[in-house]
Amino acid sequence: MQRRATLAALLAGFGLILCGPAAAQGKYPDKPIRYIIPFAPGGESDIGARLQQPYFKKKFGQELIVESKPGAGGALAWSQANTFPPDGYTLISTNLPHLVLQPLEGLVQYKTADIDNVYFYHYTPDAIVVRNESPFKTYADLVAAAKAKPNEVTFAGSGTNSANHLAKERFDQVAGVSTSYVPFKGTGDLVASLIGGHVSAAMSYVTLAIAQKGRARMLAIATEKRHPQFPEVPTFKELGIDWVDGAYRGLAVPKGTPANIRKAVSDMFSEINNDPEFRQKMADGGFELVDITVDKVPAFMAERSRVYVDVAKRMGLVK
Amino acid sequence: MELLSNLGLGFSVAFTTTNLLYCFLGVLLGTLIGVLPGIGPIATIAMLLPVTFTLPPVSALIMLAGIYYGAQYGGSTTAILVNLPGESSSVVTALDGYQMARQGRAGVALATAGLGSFFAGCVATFLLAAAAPPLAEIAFKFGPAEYFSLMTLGLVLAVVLAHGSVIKAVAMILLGILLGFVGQDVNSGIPRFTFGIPEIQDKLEFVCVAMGMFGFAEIIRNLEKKGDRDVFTNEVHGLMPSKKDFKDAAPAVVRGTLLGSILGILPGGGAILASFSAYTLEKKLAKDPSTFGKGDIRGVAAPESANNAAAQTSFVPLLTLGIPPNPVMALMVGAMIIQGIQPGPLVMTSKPDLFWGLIVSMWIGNLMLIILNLPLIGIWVKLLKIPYRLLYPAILAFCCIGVYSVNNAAVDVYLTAFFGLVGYVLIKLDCEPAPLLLGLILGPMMEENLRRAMLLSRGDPMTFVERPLSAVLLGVAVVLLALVFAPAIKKKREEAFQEAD
Amino acid sequence: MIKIRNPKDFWAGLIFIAIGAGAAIIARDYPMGTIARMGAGYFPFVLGTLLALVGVIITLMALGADGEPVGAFALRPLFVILGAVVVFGVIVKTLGMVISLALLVIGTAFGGHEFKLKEVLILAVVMAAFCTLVFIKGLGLPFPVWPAFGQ
Repeated sequence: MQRRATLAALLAGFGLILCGPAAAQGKYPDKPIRYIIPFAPGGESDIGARLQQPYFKKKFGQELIVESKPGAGGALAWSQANTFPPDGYTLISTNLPHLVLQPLEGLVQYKTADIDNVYFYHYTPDAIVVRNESPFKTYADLVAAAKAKPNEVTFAGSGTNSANHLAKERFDQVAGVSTSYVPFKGTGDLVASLIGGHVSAAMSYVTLAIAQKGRARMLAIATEKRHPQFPEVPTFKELGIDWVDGAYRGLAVPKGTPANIRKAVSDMFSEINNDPEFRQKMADGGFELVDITVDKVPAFMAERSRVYVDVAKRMGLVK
Repeated sequence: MELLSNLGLGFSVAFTTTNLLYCFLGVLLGTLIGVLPGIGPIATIAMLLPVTFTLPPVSALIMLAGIYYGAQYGGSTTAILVNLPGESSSVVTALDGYQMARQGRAGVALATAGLGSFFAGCVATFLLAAAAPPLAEIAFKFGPAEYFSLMTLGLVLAVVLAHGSVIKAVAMILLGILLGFVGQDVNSGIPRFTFGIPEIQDKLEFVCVAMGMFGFAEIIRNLEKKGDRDVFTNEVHGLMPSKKDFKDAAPAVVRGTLLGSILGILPGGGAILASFSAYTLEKKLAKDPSTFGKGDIRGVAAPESANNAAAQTSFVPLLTLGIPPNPVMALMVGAMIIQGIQPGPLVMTSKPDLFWGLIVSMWIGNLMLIILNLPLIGIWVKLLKIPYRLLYPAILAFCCIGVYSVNNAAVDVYLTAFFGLVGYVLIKLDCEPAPLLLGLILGPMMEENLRRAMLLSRGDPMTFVERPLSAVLLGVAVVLLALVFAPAIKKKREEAFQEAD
Repeated sequence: MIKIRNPKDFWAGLIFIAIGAGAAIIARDYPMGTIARMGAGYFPFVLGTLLALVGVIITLMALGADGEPVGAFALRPLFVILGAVVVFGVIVKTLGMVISLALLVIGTAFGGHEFKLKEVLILAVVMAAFCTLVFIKGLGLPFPVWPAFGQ
């Protein structure tokens, strides 16, 4: 009898599941949204998400629940991106150039095309960061040390085949040196090693120097012009190096998410990005805002992919 | 007086209505699960982790911490009244506590355990506040090589203090580390030992292993034997210890507190280890050790102070180095990461309110606990009247809900059942699960730091002995290991554990 | 003639050898790298080998010193309880908290020595109600309460 009842319940359950979604669909979002960050807490993706959090709640009335899933330079979370229900209630934070470079190497468990990016919201410029007590006062000091002792200068960075890894290879090439790259689970994870002096420097972003002001300083920064918060730090351009680059961060949804929800996510985060108070907070943290909405994403990805593949080939990072 | 201003900050954080409430909730829950045998802080914290998503970070951590040290109070109640440890850290308390209860001195035993725990809690809170800032500074001296060596020392310590066969403890640790490899490699993203199961692509959920090997396996083992136990529930009266009791217990409390505080800080330590060691120490120091096991008050006072002190000082490595020294702290790492806090030396400077608020809340929590446990003892006693045949299905139900809710995945429930089976087989073969769990916790961090250390030294393993701090840590580990294998000590150690059983 | 004098250690040793060797063999399929740049297979290979070696020592020692026999396995609690737990995992999403939890309680209780139907039924109802109230209503864990048709 028990079994028959169970069977009946199961059948009834399936019936409802089949015709369920149409009836169940209310206004999106009508419950909290999971926001997965593929890096250790305290890094740029995490800080960005936590800055978005209160504005999301204020504007759209739902909680944005930030959750860290660090590992493999982001690849750990991205390879699971499409295992979540495609209903708009799970968002995954994404990074460029990671999404392009990692699959090129072929060891990670996802392909660039697997990740359904719907919006890119900011950009952080590359920067070489050292701790305050570091003997390297200038970019030239660092290059000289790297030349004198090949492979002894060590760079901490977030992830393998990531923006930081690419930047480190680029440094080696333009400076004509050979250094070692030490991957961490995110910028938040490398801070203690940088401040403790266990690595020579960090290949990171302007945001790290701002977050660790007073304990760390920058030697050079990959922007067009000097940064307003660091007028004393030279750009690579001033040093005679053609290097203006960094990492873009955006949001992806699991594959198969309906077009209206993809658009809704893009619209919501675009609205947050246009909030003056939010813009100010992001700028204070060293983030440069961009507004790549869902309709512009394909062209943007195509253009960036071309650039990254080209750079990576020149650096010898991929064949 | 930086310490005072820091504590002032802590008080201002901990004394808000919300945080007082979460602190109370935590210690209340902790006492409850402490009293109930079979369900411990691991299951409870695992169950509550998803709930803490939406809480403010300070409140979440205050509550979770309260569960851990609260359980140390509750555990003694069951040990004394039922001769069954409510928590595994109260195993030794049962030896003399239960005998005291049989002599009609249950009230005194409970009061001693409570007051001893409270004293230990106060001292440990103070130690945490005083020791953490300098330790966090030292923590910056810890590079990958030092981290690796420290964790090796922790694992060796777990071997030395493990119950039973040393070599089998070594094997269990190695097995634990191997289990820690399951999932994607942190550096390259290659899946390892996943056997094509998508749900363990990420990693083997630590809660499944812990709950399976401790919770499930333990219950099945308990069901091997028939029969219920005597409960001394009607004889709880006369809480106040006599002058003589006080004179006997006070020095034991102090010694237990100190030993517990030290063992809590070391990775591989924690409440369980602390109580065992404190009991052994008391017995060694006693003029007439034969009174132990026959209702000696010191046999209650020392281990109960020690386990509470250790429960609190085990936050030191977590907050300063980012290393979880025991399974409960491993869950706390999860709770902190969910909240966007990277455990490690930067917590104190980047989140001083959280750091000091948490520490002060522990002292407040201890105050609440002494109130909860002494006057309200009657309520807890009632709980113990529930027969085991009804208790264990309820405990299993809580465990299942807890495991399922960590990732909302049925696979985690299956995995827990699987590790219940594995755990039971290993228990039958006299292989203790505790070292395995520690290996599982520390394994991934060890690999990460080993690889990093090798990158930094360009493949020169001498880095571990050339760096002084690392060399000292490894040296201590080697000495400890040599001592256990030395025949004379081996014999002594076996005696000590036999007595504790 | 080899005699197993310590059966517990003997079997434990064999299990460790099997797992260690298995892990080391599987690890060889992953990139090894060099000592300076360890690949994904390096540390697992080393530790797997180490575990197998420790297993060999334990097994050999079990031939030399006496020990207790392996006690009888409590097969009924083992399989009934673990079975009930697995069933809970299978049905909880479709049948909801109330039914699956009640079944879990009844199932696990059946694994014990005494099974008083009335008592167990009361426990099942109490637990189902308590957990629904505390975990779903109170703490907001995302379990369905009833099977999908009940709503």
